[in-house]
Amino acid sequence: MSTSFTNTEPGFRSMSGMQRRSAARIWIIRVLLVGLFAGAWKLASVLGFFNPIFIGTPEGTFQAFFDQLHGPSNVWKDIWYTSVETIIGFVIGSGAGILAGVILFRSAALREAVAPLVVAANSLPRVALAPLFVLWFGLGITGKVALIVSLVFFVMLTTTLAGLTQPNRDHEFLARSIGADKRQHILYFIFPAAVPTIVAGLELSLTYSFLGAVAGEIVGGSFGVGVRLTALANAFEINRFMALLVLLVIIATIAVQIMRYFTAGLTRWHAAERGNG
Amino acid sequence: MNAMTIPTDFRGNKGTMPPAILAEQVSLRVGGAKDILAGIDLAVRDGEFVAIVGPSGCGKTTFLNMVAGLQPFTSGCLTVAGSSPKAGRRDSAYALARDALLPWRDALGNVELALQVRGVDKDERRRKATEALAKVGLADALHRHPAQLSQGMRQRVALARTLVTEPRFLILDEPFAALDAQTRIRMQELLLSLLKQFSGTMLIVTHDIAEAITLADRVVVFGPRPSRVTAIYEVGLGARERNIGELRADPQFSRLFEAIWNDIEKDFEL
Repeated sequence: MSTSFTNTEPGFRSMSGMQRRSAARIWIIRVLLVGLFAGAWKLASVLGFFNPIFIGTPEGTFQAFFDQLHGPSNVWKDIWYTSVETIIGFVIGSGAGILAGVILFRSAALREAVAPLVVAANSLPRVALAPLFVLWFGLGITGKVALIVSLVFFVMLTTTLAGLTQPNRDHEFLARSIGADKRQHILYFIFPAAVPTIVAGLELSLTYSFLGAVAGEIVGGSFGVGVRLTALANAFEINRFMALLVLLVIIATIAVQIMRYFTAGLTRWHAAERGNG
Repeated sequence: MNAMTIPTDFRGNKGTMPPAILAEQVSLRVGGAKDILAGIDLAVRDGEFVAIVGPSGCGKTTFLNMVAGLQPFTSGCLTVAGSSPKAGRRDSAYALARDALLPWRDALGNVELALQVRGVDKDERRRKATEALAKVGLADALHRHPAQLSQGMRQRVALARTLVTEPRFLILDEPFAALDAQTRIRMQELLLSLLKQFSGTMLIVTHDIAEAITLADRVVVFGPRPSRVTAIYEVGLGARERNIGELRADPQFSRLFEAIWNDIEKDFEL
């Protein structure tokens, strides 16, 4: 009695011609939306709804975007400062947050004890701490890093804990029936299951880190994108202000994409599960 | 419930070997609700295949989990190979109704899991897992993740994972319940062929009477909650030497099916 099966089952989907055509269509829609936005922006000042002194112009912003990349007052030094703050704050904050999440996961008593404190600390608008950090750490990098850490730490603490405490009764049964000890249970079942949640938290944290760096600089700093934005707004250099914002969006997007590139392998199974589910 | 029809001695003392699984008055009482198990008496001989059937909610899976050491009972005596049941015995394997595959591991990684927990070295467990997957017809799907597999394929991976440790006790909880009727029969066929090289003891819970008759030497019928054993049938169709088509065509198969069906049906009317 031979038992034969044919394995003609779904694989990870490769892009079909139809999907490629719809991807092209999506890009056309995106470009059109940006064009529409620029058109409305231009129209608003041409028709006199807004004074271009306050909102700038699309073509002025376009010009300023390229001007800021070179010349005597180029933005790279400020971008560098903000990036360094962002990266240091992100690394320290997320590292500490993940570690704290793991510690709280291991100790139920501690978890219960600090839960209300975490909720309270997390509900505090952290940007309110920025003036205090200026007072403590001065106008340099340290204060911004502290602000970022205060933001990112709690994001990573809560997402790590959430990822580690997802109940799965089937996996629980399986772990016990194959005789996995506590260490193996955590290593083979709980940690891998938590990875997608933690990675999603990291992505959010990266965005928060940029926010913390720029907000910290706006409140008080000697260098950085936030300092430059404040100066440009005060000088009514709206086109240059807008151009810097656009550059910031591009840099933040690239940073998130880089992180996605490196974490994609860790979460591919999760994306596939959801795609099929 | 006073007419207990037990065609054979419940202890099944046929040989000289001590029973592989022995349950005496195993009960599970829960405060504030109807008892779940009212006292299960059952003996499974070493090397015997026993199937438990019964109305849904009768506690058959609960009893199975007790044998697997995954669930405590409140009174009675239960032994597996002479000692009290314990989860994670190295000589037993348990398969759940749902495949419980780890979605972040490919088929090979899932099958390797139990070997990894046992500390088998990498080359050895890779070789064994590959072999086990080949046996269930998945030699070409070693590196696919569960999301890339159909229900039937996932269940075959789960079967390979269950068998890869070469257990002496096979404990299966409705292993094919999630499958469509046709895939289920092919899986039973596959399991039957794999069991031809298996000399251990198998305890399987199912709600599918045909599956019970196909796979087991004896079929044990549980009554409704609070449950006890209401009947035991010797199958005696020689399933281990035959294929499913032949088995199902055997007139004895339909007679057994009808008898068991009536047993369960009778309980529904209570």
